[in-house]
Amino acid sequence: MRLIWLMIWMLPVMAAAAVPGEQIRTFEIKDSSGSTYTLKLALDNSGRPQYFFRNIFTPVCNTGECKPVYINFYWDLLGNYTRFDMPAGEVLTKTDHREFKEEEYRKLQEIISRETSIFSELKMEDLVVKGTEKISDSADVKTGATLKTIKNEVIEGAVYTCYTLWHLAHGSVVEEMRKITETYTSTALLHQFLQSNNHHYQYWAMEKVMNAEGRVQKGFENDIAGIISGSNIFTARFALQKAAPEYFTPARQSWLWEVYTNAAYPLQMAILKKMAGLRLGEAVMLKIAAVVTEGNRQQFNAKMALLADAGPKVQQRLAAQLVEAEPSLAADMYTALQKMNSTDKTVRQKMMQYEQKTKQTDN
Amino acid sequence: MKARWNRLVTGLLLMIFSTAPAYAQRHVYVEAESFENKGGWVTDQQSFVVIGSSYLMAHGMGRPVKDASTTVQFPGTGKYRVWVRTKDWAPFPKGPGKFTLHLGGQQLGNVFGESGSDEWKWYDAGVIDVKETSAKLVMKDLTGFNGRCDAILFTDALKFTPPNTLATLNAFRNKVLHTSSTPADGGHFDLVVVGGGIAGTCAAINASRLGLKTALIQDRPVLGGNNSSEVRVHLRGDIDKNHYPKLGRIVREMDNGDPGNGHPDASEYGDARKIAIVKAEKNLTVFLNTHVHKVEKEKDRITAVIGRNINTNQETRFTGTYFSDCTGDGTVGYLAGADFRMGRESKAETGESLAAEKADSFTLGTSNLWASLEKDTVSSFPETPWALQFSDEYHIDQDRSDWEWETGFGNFNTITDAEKIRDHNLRAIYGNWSYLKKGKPEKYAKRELAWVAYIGGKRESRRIMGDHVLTQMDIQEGKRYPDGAVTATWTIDLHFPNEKNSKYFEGQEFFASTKHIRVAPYTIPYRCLYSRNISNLFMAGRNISTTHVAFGSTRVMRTCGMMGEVVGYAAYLGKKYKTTPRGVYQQHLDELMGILNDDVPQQQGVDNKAGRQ
Repeated sequence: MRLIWLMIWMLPVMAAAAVPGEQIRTFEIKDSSGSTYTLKLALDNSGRPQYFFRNIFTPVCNTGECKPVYINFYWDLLGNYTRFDMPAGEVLTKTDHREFKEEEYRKLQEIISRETSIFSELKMEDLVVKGTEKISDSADVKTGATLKTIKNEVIEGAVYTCYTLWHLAHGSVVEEMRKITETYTSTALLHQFLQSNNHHYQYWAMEKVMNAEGRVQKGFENDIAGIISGSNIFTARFALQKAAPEYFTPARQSWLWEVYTNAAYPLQMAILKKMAGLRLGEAVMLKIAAVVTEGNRQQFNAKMALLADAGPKVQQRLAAQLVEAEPSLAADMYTALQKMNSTDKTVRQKMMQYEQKTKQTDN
Repeated sequence: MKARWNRLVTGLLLMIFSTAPAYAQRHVYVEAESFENKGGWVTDQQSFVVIGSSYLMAHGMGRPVKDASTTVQFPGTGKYRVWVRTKDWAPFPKGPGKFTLHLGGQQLGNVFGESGSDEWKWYDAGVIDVKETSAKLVMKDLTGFNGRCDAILFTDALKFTPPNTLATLNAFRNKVLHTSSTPADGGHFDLVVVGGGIAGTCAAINASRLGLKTALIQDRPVLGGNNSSEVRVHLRGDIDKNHYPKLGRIVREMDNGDPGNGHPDASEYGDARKIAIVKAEKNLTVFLNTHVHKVEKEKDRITAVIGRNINTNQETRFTGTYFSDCTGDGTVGYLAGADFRMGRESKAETGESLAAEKADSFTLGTSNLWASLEKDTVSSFPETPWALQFSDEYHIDQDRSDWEWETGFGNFNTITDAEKIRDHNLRAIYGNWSYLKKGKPEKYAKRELAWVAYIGGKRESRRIMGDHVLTQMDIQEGKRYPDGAVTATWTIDLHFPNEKNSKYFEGQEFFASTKHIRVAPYTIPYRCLYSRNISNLFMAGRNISTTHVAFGSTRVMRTCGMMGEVVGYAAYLGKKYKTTPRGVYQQHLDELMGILNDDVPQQQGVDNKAGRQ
């Protein structure tokens, strides 16, 4: 069973190794203790960086006894840990020398994957009873986590292994990788990052292609649009909020309204808020007016605010809905139209029809 | 004639004859929570203070629940306008709580629960022609996502619009249902304990074992409060570090082992055991499903409390010598005009280093815990566009909740916004779960939600002020007052929004962090356990007399249970010497402390043994 498990873990590596022309660049990094380790960068056959990895050999020490651990770690180009695998023939063991079970390898992956962990808050001496692998009964006092949560975040009998490996994955090596990737910055890399599904890449690249005022560098407009209409609501909201008003040309305003139509509610609200800070063109206003009564009351109010300075065409579109709209919405639209002081004949006519209708209802 | 209708519809139906003899308005007011057959719908009384009633809710975790039905008796055939009191609980932009109503097989109006407005109000369901005076009314849930209905009104005054503000609606409801006119007599008791959480249950058991005729009134069908299967929070605080050998014994009886928070198996929390223990006490009468919403007073004494059954709406009046507010919300004290605090005090006011710079309304939040289970087959979960939205970038990668799932933090008032808080928790749970099922199938494809709490596990609301207000200094300096009565051991555990959660959901946080400030075992003075201005009111539980900071440590349930035990002893002494809770402190403290220290002989003249079966 273990063999199969290892095979599964090995598969990506074997596959990666099979890519013809893949190159590996190595970097010798000095750590804080002064010793040197090798960080490797995998490049595709055109020399574009793909991911980082390390073939780690580290002692894991406890109760005066140290054991060697061989393991391979993989990170993305910004130093975000992605996965590990075991070199052929190597296994992880616990303090009682028993080998890791399949689910323990799986749990280890979960533990190391956590960006924040009790390992970042706690020192080993706070976590375990001195000289043992036993979780200290007072470990929860130093952190917000309950003992149960802490136990869930470690592998019993391998607390030192988890601790050591988590710190290797999230330690100073991250900064080294980011520095290296900086040297590969290019238009192509930025496009690749912006178009990826990796939000770390997207945020990183957005910081580079948008300045403090949100001006989008020429050539990256479509990439930003792709993020705004993308499936990750958080990057979408970030890009939307960050982009400067001039990014939203009349054509892009109409496009943004299409995005609104398919967006999740929180992004819809963010779009309405963004639009409040734009000079909206008539084309998009007409689109908004056509669906002004859709959604909830808050959205109706926000849409009506966007249309406050609308011209006759938009006014007509609003007026056309007076008679059919839900009474409280119709009343608000009527008030808004009154404020607009419309001189348009059709608008005046529709408003009169509405007045007559409400008069009849009142009677 | 009227009597017959009342008998037929168990109080649901009433006619109002207008003063004008020429025309009589006839209203048939059907409380949803009073449906004869609730099917899969559940009764929710958590918003009683806001809407003046319980309501029925379709809590199916995304699967439509079974129909609820009841028989409606009409005073006559003919045309009736139908009004339905409901809301769209998640109008973002339209919620999922959709349901339909059917009378005699005919649908009434359109689909309810998707109006886009989260205000409770009456919706016009059109005019129907009633041909039979008895008809079956069915409420059909369409989604399993918490559709809810407060009441249905049939009126032959076709232009009548039912009132919607709390005061006018209460008056209207009381009039048509006769709810408040003649409350049933619940009896007279030495001690009336309101609130059947751990604190209240321990108080009631102890008092009854000491020979006091005791009432325990609880607004849910189960005892245990946050430790019941409805909320599933485990018991915290130590009883083994107790300074008083007498205390903690009843807490231990309540303790059903430690299943942790949010265990998927309800039986782990021992609801039946708790009720069996209480029912075995011969001096103790338990009134479940009874929400206390009114008190009667003479000067500074409470003389009676009035509770309403959360299902039948029957009102019952309980008179008593002593009352104990174990409601958590400090409801009895609040209704009686007891001094109370809610929110944080300022550093300047209390001198506490952990206090806020400025006093504010911040409270710890409310948890709706949940759990999933691994099944043999892959399952799906509906899309939840109305819920909070998650992505690979941010989601909570958990198959079972813990205490961190918490909403409140001053964004919402834990009493008046209790429904909103619960609903926000549900939007977080369902939105996150929907993401996990779709976004992480390797881990969650075969997992299904096993349980989601619809009753909020509330941490903080009002604190009733006593003769002593416990502070951070009392705790950290380990002050031993002569009336130090309950040993507390929990850290000062004041939750705040998790930083990352705040980044993604600013102002809508649902996930908490904390810093545990460790304390040495300390004692809570007896003077924190009775009101300073309502002369016969005790308190036990989270609503005792402390500052916000000190509450961070006293609030855990084993500690609260021991407070209840002390209240039981103090009420016993109060009765023995015909004195007030304060009188016990002023004149009989030695005897109280003697009992707690187990160094006086058992009281005489009270037959306890018969009560312990």
